[in-house]
Amino acid sequence: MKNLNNFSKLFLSLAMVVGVLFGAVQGVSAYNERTIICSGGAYFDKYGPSQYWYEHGNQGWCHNPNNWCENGQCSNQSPYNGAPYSMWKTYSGCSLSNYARWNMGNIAQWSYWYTFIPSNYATTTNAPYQITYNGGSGYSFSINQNAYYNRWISLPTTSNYYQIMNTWLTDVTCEGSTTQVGFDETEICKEANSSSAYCPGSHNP
Amino acid sequence: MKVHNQISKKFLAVLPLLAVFAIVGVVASKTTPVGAQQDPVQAKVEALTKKLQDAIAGAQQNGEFTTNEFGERVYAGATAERMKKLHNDVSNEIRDLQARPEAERAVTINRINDWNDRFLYKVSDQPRQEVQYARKIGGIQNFKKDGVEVYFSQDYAYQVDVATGKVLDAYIRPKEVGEPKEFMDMTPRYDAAQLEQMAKDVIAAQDLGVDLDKLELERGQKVGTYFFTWHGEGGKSLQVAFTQGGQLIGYTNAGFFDNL
Repeated sequence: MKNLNNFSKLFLSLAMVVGVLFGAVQGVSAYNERTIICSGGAYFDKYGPSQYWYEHGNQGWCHNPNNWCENGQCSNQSPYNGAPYSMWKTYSGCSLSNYARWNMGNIAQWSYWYTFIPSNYATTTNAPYQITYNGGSGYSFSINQNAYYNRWISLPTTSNYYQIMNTWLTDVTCEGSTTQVGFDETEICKEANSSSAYCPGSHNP
Repeated sequence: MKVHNQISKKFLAVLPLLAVFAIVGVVASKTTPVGAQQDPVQAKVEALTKKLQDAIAGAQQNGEFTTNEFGERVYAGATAERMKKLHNDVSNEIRDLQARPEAERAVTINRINDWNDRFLYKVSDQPRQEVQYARKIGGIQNFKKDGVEVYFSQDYAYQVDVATGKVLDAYIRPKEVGEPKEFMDMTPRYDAAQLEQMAKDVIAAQDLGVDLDKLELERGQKVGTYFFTWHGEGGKSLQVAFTQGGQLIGYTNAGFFDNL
């Protein structure tokens, strides 16, 4: 019986190791299921003259501290943010000056795409977005940010996209110079069982 | 105590067996069931995806490339056209494979048309909306909701609970390059107080069994657009948006699903 007990302990230890490994694998997989890319995080890059970029704290998706985005970069302690729970804005122009990129991961999967339009500092009626996907295709569309108030917005008409690479948003809206272009979180969600069970936002399936 | 020890020893003796069952169970639950592999729809989806993957691999080796205005390497010339068409064809085919039968979707479209008749077209010249099916979805603004489909028209996107036919979300939608700009009546016709009452009327007409007086109202405004958001427990919310001309540009039920 003593040998049997030792065998049991050995087997249980093995089972625990397997369990831990499974948990780790599941964690990695979950990254691909739903990814919210923070406008203050390591996967967001701003371009253009810095004097035309403005950061506003306690705005957008991250204004609610219960909300989540990749690597916890919604948090107050994010090294990428100068203001807590922030969003960015610039002003409208008619030639390319300030623009930004969200790195969507280039993941080989069908994904749904969303962006969050904040309640403030986003008044353009013609925000020019482009996503790249499919190894090098581009899809351009515009969002009337003035028509939305703290909500996730999807693409115009189309369904899911394969292997989304980047999201680009520029200041080329050709509106008045006081018109604001807001830059907040974007999200991709893996198509699951003919619908995206995780999206939009950060609810669980 | 002796009885207890005997039970413990017997329990320890069967532990390896329990551990095996546990591991097999976990593995089985995380792998694709045999039945799913035989699902003809899923098999077609996988075949279509493989076709696209092969085309992408081929284009990476032999396709034409350029850099876009941001310096990103993208397809050019015939490769760009061919790859975009293939992607759209495959995406549409997958969407159609996974959709409910057209006759069932037509019933839902009729419900949206009824909703439009009740809540849109309050301003003159607003174009009639022709509704089409878009796809399925898993949630409404951070709230999980099964059985919801997305539809769209010229200017709006809709999310509908298929079981009840109730519209849960209707909002002005983004536009593809080349599409006409959405209709927005920005005539300065109503003030915030009038629009707030109109928003309450829209909510009341949804028959959700919600007492707005028990929720917290957030009033918001952009440039000629007004937003009324009622917040409930657990992050639930109801939002209505109008232009200053009185055109309904948004309604969202996020989480008030109990009385649909």
